[in-house]
Amino acid sequence: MITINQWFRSKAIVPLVLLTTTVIIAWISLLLRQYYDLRKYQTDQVQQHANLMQIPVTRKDRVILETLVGSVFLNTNSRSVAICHNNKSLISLGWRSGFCKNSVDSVFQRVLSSNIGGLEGYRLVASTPIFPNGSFWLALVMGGILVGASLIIVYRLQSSIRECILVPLNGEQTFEVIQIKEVDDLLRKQELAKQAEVHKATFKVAKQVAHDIRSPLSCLDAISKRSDGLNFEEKDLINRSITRISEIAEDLLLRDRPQKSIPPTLNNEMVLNRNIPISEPVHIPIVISEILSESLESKRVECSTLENIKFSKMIEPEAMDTLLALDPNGLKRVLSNLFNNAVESIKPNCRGLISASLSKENENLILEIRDTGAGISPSDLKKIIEKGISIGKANGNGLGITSAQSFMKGLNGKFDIYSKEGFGTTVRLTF
Amino acid sequence: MRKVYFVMGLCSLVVGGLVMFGGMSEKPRSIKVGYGQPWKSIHPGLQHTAVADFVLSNQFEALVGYDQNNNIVPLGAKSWRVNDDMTVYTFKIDTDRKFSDGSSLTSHDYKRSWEEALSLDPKSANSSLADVLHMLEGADRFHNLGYISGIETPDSSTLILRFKETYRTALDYLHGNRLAAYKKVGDRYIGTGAYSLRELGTDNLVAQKNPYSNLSSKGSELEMIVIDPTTLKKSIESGIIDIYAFEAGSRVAQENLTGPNTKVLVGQDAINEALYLNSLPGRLFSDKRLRKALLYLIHQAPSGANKLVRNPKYFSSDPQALLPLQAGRLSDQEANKLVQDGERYVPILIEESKKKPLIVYVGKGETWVLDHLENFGLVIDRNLSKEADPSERISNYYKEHRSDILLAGYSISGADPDSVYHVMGKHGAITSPMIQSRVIAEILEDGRQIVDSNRVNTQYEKFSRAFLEEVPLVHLGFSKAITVYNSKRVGIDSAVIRRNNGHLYPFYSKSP
Repeated sequence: MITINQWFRSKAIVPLVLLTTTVIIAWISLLLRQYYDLRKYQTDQVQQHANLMQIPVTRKDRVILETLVGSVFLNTNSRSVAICHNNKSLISLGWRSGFCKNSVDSVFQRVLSSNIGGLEGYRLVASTPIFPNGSFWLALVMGGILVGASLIIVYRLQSSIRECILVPLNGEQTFEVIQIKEVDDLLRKQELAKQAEVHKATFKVAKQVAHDIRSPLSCLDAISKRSDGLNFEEKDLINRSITRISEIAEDLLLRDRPQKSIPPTLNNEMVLNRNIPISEPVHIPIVISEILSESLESKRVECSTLENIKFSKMIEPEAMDTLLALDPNGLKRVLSNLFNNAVESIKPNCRGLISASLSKENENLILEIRDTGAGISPSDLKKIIEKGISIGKANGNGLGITSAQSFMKGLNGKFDIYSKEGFGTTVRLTF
Repeated sequence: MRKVYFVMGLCSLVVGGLVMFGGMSEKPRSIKVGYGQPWKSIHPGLQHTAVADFVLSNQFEALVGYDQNNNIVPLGAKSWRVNDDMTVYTFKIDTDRKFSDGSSLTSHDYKRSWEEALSLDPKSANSSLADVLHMLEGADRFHNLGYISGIETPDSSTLILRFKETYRTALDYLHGNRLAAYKKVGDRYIGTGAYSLRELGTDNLVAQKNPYSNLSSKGSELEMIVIDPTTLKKSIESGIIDIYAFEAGSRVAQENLTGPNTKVLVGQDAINEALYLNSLPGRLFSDKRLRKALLYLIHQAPSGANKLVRNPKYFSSDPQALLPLQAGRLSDQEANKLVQDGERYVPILIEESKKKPLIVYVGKGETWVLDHLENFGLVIDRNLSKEADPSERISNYYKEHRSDILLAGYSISGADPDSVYHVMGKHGAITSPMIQSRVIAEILEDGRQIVDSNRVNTQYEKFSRAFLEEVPLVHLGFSKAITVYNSKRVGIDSAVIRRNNGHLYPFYSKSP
């Protein structure tokens, strides 16, 4: 586990410092090289001219000597140049007097001296400024600006990370002590909060629908009771459907109300191994096979006009009486959505079979719904599972699969879906 | 971050713009240049003082000039050929050069200018052009014929000079402004130089940029005035002048060269400081022994000749007329021995001065020179001696010859020993009957014909010995030429290191 400071050092500071250091080293090297080259050039010039001066000195050719002295003056950017003999100036050029006696370097000047070849006591002396002109100063200033800019960038980067990422996330946490895991948790919480906002907004709409639907349901209920043209089964189906719609609407309206907690009085052996957070509502254990049968029967009646679709049910004896403490309405909603998906996957001009099964594997209860419909391609299946996108349904919103996934996740169960194009789809709920 | 980059980019643009275009924003003001002496005439043919030479150099251009390394470089002539015995010099004239009226320079301009100048009544003892032109074929018939046959102009771009004898240092002398080409337009004389001069009054000139000149200058124009050298510091700091151009450094007190914005440009040894001795018949110093005695007194005294100058910082005391390492220069031991020879005549000099007190002309404020001479025991006629202004001293030197001793200087025109010809040669431009020596003149005439450098040294060693024997003048020493300027008001583009550089185009105005 590393701190933000360590993370920043390893990911950002180190490369930036390396870059800045490289720039500084390159800049200083360039300056030193320029300085050294200039000094070497100046020394070489003085030496070369001193070598040339021997003959004019011996022949007393002042014409050539003055030309050579002038040449040294210009080529070495000197302040003073002189031909000295026994510390006395014979020819001099420049602003300094007494020059031949002063051959000591100082803070402001450097003295270049070379013996004039083969002549005792004759020297060529040039006084050059310590700091060269022209491009040296330009390199110094430009390099300084570059280094300064680099340091400013590094500092600003640090400040930006602190201001834009850390402070908004953790408020009072300091730069040095915050952990990466904490940042991850904080970011996840932010994401969950964002999702919760979206769900809240969606739920608000659903609540509104649920609220508005109750009036027309009441009307339907009243009419169905007075209807004499229907047989018992048909009336029963209508009543069950109205009841079902009411339960769904009621369920939506009650969702955000605090749940009454029911103390657990159940037999632990009859409750499958689940972790139920204390803060979540406690449900009365229900017989899963009954819920399944009821849901299947309801769907069969609802689809009785669809002659190409057949329904079947298979419940293993071991699973017949299995109890689970969960929300019965939630399970009915999930099963209803899954049956709807199965029905809609079978094309009108094709024959299809929808079967539901309940079995036990090890300690787990397995509920499967299979259809022999069109099937789903792998890419579509991925979209449905990950993003809840509806495939092939004109008015679908993909919430059926998503709500089933969420429902099973809330129970710490498993939701699996298998499909093959042209063969059908199997949805498996593992409790 | 984008804001930072934007601000940085904006700042760079602003700074860059200021650097590049700041200097172009306004027309620079004129630069005020001061000189310590009047130039008298701005006619090239009448130039006889160093100050006039430097003023003229801004307007007029000779055939050749000097570069920063003291090499002879093309100017009015773009190329030349010299025959083997150095008697014929053929110049190709740069006809692309233009006078300030837009007309092109031709070879005829040089011939006309020189022959016209020779016709003028000279301000000095000889014509300013004499030391060169007298060497030409037909020069001795000029006054009869009105032209010099040795100057030929076969076409407008060719100038041929035929000398009677070998003339080793012809090119050295041909760079002088008195040998420049000029034209008369109305009542003004114009040249091909960087500026065009216009007189506003006595000792007041304006130099405007010659739009046709090859030389670029950031300055707009120059205003030249004559100032009292003793007011130099005040003049520079107060803005009366921006530049004090070309002065002997030894003549300017050090306190006048220090100031918050005062800068000094120092060149090479450029001026000989001397005591000119009047050796005309009937004068005290017509006796060579007494001249030698004075030479001894000056140079054997403690501090040598340093006592006779204002600022020893830019001065080196030296009895010899030739520069160190110049061909013909004697060893210090031999020179000292020759100087020592005058010691035996000192009592005679002192006695003679008591009989005939010396008349000494010095410059303004230089009375300490009289005191110094009196300290040797010499008697000075304080009534007739004077602190003479430059005009008086020049007039005395060339024409009137009233003084026994004249404190003055003459410029070093080049590194060749023939440079002393113009002051001591028979036809020297700035010689005077006061100091003419037949012996020395003959040596110098022979010397300028020698081309073998080994023989040059031997010949001019004869001159050096003769100089210390004959003592036409007591050579005090060499002074560096300085130019003083206010660095806050003017800047300088290039290193001005030539010996006698009166050019002002490297200067530019800093403030509007």
